Amino acid sequence: MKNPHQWIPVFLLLSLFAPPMMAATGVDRPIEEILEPIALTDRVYYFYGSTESR
Amino acid sequence: MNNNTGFVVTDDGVVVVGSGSSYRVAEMIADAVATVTDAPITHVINIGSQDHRWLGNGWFLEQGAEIVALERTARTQEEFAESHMNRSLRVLGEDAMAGTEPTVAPEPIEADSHSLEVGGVEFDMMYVADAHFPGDILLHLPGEEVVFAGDVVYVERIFGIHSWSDPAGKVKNFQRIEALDPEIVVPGHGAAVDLETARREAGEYLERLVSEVRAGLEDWETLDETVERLADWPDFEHLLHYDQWHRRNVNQTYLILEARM
Ligand SMILES: [Zn+2]
Repeated sequence: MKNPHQWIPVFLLLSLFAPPMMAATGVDRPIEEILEPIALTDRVYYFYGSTESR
Repeated sequence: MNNNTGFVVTDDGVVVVGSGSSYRVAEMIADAVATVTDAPITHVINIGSQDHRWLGNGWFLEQGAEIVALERTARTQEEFAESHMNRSLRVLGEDAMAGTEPTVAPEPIEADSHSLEVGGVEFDMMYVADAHFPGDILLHLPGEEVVFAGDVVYVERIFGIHSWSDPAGKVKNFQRIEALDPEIVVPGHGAAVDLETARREAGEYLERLVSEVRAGLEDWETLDETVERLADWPDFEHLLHYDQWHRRNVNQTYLILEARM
């Protein structure tokens, strides 16, 4: 198994390129994905909206 | 679509919970429902007044569905209709909002609670106290052990207290949800969860916010002192938008509770 610490610099590097607004706007998903009904019981479904803030 | 909506397949048709943010989104919701059942959508229950909870009403009404809302909810929708439309036009654009006419339930129910039975499923609509918006309600499906909590519960992300919100009312709503003891809580935003998770991500934050701000007011703390004292809550830092909202929430809660003292 690789030493997990070797990965840390990679993540740091990647985070430099991440859009800076990511944390502030949340994770958005395409509407097609959001509009896939998720069953909670035999009868009840919901659509899991994005957690973006607006 | 940044909020949760839902639907229930009964023996006599489909009941939609929340009509979406526009005419167009309403139609997309109906298309998505059609991937699960051929049954027609007979009812749309409004549980709140924020744009994304009801601006799709017009489309469903045109299709012949009944819009079910308490009078309190409908009244707030009317009050906020213009500002919500303007904001949606600005944020989402004219195309996204095409066809959208703010449409409240033609015959809102003049009561603080209302139960309806559709095709073997009981729907209990209950107003407990004003919450994210005045007139927000909880929707309990006792037979399914599900509560649609609307904007009383957010998970994954922090909620925002606005000048028109009632943080103490939100606490009362949360306590009601706990008394109903459902298996599943469908929050207004964030994934459906069990009660324990709803408590950890929203209930505890709400209760702490209200009780700590109230304690500050009782100690004659100034707004700045309260905001300073409650500035950092590591327990909730993991919630999305924490940096954007937490201090604002303390600030807003102080102003709201102070005005009511
Ligand atoms: Zn909302």
